[in-house]
Amino acid sequence: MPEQLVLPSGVKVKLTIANEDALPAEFESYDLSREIIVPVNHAVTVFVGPLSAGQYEFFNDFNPVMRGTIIVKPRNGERN
Amino acid sequence: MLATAIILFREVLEASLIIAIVMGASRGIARRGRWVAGGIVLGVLGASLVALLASDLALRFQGKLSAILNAIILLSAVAVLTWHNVWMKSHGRKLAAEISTVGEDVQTGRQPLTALMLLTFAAVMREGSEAVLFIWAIATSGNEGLSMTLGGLSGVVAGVFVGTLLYRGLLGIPLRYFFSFTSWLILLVTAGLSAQAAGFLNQADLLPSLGTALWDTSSLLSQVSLLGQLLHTLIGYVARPSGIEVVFYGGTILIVLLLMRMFGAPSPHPLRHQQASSQ
Repeated sequence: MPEQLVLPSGVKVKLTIANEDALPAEFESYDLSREIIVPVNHAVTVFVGPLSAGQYEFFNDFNPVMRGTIIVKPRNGERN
Repeated sequence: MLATAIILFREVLEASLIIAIVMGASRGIARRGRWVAGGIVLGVLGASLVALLASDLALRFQGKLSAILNAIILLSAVAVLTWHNVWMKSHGRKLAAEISTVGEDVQTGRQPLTALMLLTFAAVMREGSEAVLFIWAIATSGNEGLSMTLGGLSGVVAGVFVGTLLYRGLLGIPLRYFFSFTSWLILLVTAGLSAQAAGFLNQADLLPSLGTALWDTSSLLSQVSLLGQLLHTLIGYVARPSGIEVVFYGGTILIVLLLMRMFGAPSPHPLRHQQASSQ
């Protein structure tokens, strides 16, 4: 799980979340209201956005030490 | 071990709080405990089934199905709670009067016992599948499996304990205000569950988000904190809500209040019962 992920604002983004751990994981974000189980050796896709510029935190609900931030930056030519 | 306990505590907390409120709000209805217990057993069975199928489902439907399933469970809880509040609007006063004259476990009107069971089932099933999946995974992982399983189980016990505290606290409210208090509380719980369902429907790409993070109160009260989590379940607190969550929250409050007003006529002779209760 990356600690930081930079995404553009104003568009819908498809995230692919793979679990390479030996335990099941749950990708969760209160900031994005996302919650999805990722079984061992599997990957799931989640759509987020369109997001406005800012920071959004996410974590593994089954192992909260695994956490990261999605940083959304305004796209070129867009005031946000 | 402690980490496992905390994770399981958080998984169990929501179901535990909802069951506590339901047990409080159904106070005085005979045989309710049996139906609520039945709902818990069915919920654990359902949750185990979902956990068992989890990897298969995730693989086949890329998580979309689990989001829809979560939304369906939450919305059925919303429907049952709405019905409960409408029912209480017409029976609450009578119920309070009967409890104060003949004590708990009275028989009154049509008893919403199946509704209680359904609701408990929904609450346990929703968070339970994650809890079961997690406990199962650590129990079979070998390394430190036992200590982590024990940690997990103590987390479950702690979650149930907080629910019990809430239940005791509710029972301490004077009978005169009791059912109107639980009705207001259930109204907010319902709105919160409805907003959660909206989040899942948006995750499944069936609803637009209508803007993410309309406002941000996470510096005031983080949703990760215990208080933030309690308030998340009790009044639907979300630190950075999306537009669709706000719409569902407000819309649910309006609709439930409207239904309570339209169909929740007070029971026939409230005055007579009130006089009886004051003797």
